[in-house]
Amino acid sequence: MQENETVRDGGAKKRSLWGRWVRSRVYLVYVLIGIVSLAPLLINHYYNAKIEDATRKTDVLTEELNRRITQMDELAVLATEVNREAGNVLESRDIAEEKKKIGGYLARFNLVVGEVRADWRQSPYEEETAALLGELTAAAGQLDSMMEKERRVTESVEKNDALAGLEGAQAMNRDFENLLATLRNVRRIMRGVRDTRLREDMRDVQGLQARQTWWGESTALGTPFETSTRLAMEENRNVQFEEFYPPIGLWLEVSEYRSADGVSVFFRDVGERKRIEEELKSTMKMQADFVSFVSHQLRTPLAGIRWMLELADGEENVPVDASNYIHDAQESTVRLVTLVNDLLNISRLERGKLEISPAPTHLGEMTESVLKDIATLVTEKQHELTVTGLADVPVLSLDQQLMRQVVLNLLSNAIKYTHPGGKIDVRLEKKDGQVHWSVRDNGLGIPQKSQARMFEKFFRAENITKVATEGTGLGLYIVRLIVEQMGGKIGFESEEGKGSRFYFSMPAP
Amino acid sequence: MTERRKKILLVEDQELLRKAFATALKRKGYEVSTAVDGMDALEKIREVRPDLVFLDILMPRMTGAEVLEHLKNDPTLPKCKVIITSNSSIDLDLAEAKRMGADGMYVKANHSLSELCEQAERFLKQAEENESHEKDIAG
Repeated sequence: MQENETVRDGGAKKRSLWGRWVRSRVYLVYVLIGIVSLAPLLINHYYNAKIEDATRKTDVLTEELNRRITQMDELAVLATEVNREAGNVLESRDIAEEKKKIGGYLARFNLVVGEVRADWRQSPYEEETAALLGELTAAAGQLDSMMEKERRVTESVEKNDALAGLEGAQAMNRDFENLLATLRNVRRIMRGVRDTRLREDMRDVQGLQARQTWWGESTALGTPFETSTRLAMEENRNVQFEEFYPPIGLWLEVSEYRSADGVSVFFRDVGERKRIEEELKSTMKMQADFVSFVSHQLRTPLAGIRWMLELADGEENVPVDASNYIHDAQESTVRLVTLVNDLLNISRLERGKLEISPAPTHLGEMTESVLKDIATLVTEKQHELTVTGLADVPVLSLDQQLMRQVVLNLLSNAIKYTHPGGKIDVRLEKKDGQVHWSVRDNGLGIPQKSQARMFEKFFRAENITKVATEGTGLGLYIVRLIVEQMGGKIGFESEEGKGSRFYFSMPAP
Repeated sequence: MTERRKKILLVEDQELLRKAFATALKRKGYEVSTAVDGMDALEKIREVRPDLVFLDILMPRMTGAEVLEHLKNDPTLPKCKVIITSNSSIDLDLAEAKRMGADGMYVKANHSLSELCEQAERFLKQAEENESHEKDIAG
């Protein structure tokens, strides 16, 4: 009904569209996109202000401390003046004039000391403040002592006792030297405070600059943070990613999603998990290295056994029993070689270290050649074998050796786990940009509860462990690793007692 | 014309494997000489002028890879077919072996002696065909 009305009234329609747009909160997304685009600018501005502020504070404080240091220099000058005037007293005899001058210097000296004391009582550097105030008290004492000597000099001069005056002036000079040393010490303490404070402030500023840089980089276009924030807002998607953040030295899991009032961002410290993962990776590498080493070391003696048995079997007049033993031993050796090869391949595939050498490969021809190799197995068990579509597939770029293993493992499984006289059907076809390869048998099938684990390492279905005791549980695992590594897909369907169909597909561009 | 017996040089540092393989090749009627490492192999190649060399890779004194280097770069060495027999397929695959100048590569444990002898026959036949082809061209 309402729609009809809006159609009749153009203005109402306009208002309604505007209203709907506002209600739809689409605008919110645009506002948020705007904020995200502005974020680097805002962040930059924020840090610039902070850095400026910190720098200004440092400047003010440095100036203040420098002024105090200058005051110490002034005190030293004043003390020197007092000392000099006292000397003048000895010579000039215009005692009243000199006393006036000395009084002026003394007043100034005490004023400065008072100022410094008052300022430093508010200072946050407790230890230094205590030392400094102690030194200032000492300086005041030294000055008093100096003045006492000065009085002695003046009295001696007034009494015309030149010798006593000279002695007094010497004593005064000693006090003066002590006072200067004390003042130098005060100066040193202040410089120390100034430099420490400067270093701290510099660190603050550097920290701020580092954080500014980091924020700038993290929020710039194309970083995970920026991209996922945009995704969360534009597409209303929940985004999660993990990243290492150097300024805080943490691995964080960042989760973002659209919430009613914008975007919510959650950070979680996943450092511990990362550490465990790293450890696990290195343990797995060690394990793989070990497997690889052992396998290589096994191959040489295995080749020796294999070949010697073959020679023994080739001798003339081998007794029948012995010949049978030799054949059994040969079979075991070949099985052992296969196992070693499987372990080697797995350790390389798992590490992603197996170098894949893609070459033009025709899966039909490959299947045909594998079937030729295992023809005796098929005839021994009197299976009925049908093959279709060998010529119907295009040439693909695949690693021949590895693909051969896939085809061989799947075919020999079908042959092995099907009762004699069974039916085996191999099928190849190209469909939907994929080459589909499959083998169907009417064999033992896989029990329902084993099905989920068929491609696991070392797993063997319960029903086959009763039929065939040998078998490593590695065959299908390798098949899966190889197919996945080549960008293909693998699967099966099966019913216990009825048979199985294993298939894989490879992209055929 | 009686056919000349083909000469095969077997380079292998493991005594057991050398003995077994040499025996199998001799039973097939080849003239077999052996070398225990790469240095020995180069000497034997000059001395025997084999038609075919089975070359192990990991050996003391001089590796199979170095022997191939010499064969490639030293024109005074007689030409011959080389098949790498190794037990470590990690370091080497067929493509890499061919780049190094070998004609074939087999992982020892993966093959029976009869399979390897068959390969020897195949490669020798190939070499012979190439030779007669070259003679035709020259003639």
